[in-house]
Amino acid sequence: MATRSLISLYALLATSAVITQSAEATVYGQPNTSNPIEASSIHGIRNSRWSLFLRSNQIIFGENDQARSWKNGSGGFLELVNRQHSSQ
Amino acid sequence: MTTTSPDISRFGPIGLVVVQSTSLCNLDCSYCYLPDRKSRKIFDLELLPLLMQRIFESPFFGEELSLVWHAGEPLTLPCSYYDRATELINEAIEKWTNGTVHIEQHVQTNATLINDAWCECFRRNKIIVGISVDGPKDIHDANRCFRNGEGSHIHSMKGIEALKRNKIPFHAIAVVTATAMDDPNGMYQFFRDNEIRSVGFNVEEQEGEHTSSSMQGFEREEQYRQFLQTFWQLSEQDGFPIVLREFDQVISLIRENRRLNQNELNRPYSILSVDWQGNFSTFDPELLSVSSKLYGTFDLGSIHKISLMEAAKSERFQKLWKDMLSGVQRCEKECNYFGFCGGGMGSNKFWEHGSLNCSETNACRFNNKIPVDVLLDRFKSSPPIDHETPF
Repeated sequence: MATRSLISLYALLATSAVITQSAEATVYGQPNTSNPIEASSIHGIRNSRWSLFLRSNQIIFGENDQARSWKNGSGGFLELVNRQHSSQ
Repeated sequence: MTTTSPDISRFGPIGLVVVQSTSLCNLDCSYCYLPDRKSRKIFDLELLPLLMQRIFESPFFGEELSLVWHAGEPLTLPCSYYDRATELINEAIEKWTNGTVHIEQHVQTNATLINDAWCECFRRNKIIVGISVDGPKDIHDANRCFRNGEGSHIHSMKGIEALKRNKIPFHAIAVVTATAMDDPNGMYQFFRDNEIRSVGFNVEEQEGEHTSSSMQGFEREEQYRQFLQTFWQLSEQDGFPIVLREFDQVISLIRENRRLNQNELNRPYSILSVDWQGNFSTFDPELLSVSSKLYGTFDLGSIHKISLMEAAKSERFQKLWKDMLSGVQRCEKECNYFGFCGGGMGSNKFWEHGSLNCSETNACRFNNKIPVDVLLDRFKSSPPIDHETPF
């Protein structure tokens, strides 16, 4: 197979960008407020003193990719998505 | 045989490529799921350009991905193997993407072979290091032994010392078995005192060759709940010197006020796994090269013969994907923890229930439900300890 032309490369990168953006849209959603865990626990936590802890801190929590589920190795699922998201 | 084109908007991007550089492991851990760990089968690096081509000719890649050398002990190969791999990866990135994609290499290693030469290899190839260590010597050596029965702890610790001496950052995975349940303090102190800041607990699973687990049943679940509670309490008292992966992901989701609809293990081509022969699969890497009456093999084909896109059109893939989707939908319908999990892990569903089309597993309870409960209970019980460093 021949090396890609620049045009086909750009077309491919555009396709992959679409996939990346649609991934974020489908992988993540809003909390379901009718879920008893959300209603009874998390809503209260977000309004307690723990909210400061959850917001931002000098302790490195919340750095892991949220959709990473494979436990046996490292890597970064949707790391790109998250980085793009945070840079926008 | 192929079917119609699938809806690829639900696929990828490939964030993780798991490559079995060698099947051989120098250890024979009691809970290992890998059947070929005694034989030295090697991924021929001449296949690497073809693998890169398969990725970059597909519509499933993004600007960054991680390539993990795993599924065997990668350091039983020489450093030169990874030097050459880096050259080939960089050549492929330039050839197929004009240098627009970044591939980050990782190894997951038992650390027993790490020395100064390996540290230099990690540095020059920018390889990110994950080690497997189960905690203090007695807990670690209960399961992580050489074939002669000798414990590997002393050797793993020498590897850790080499990493620290050479200032190579690393994170750790600890397989948690019943042996660890009685000593949460010892486990915590081990990681704290050895300055291992980033830790993930892999609760022993029924998986592959390993057909039973010491971590099953209500009593063990309660023990693990108390174990995690103690671990959090000790870490909080010390100002959180250790970030535990199980808590971190939940905290991250709460902080961002978003939940999961899927995860990388049930989204096609988020993970691409390749064995030493070039056979590939997606979904859980543990399912690579596994066969069953229901699904046949989980492999989608060989990179020699078929593209990722062609594989996604195959009947085999469609059957897997249909059951995977149905299983995720059942999770969403039946489980209040779905938003923190995204639909479970196919390998656990398969090994525990024989099908991907099911919901809760033993692994779900240990890996997801209990950590969420422990964290939320702590948040509800009292305010955080007020350290001098403000949150």
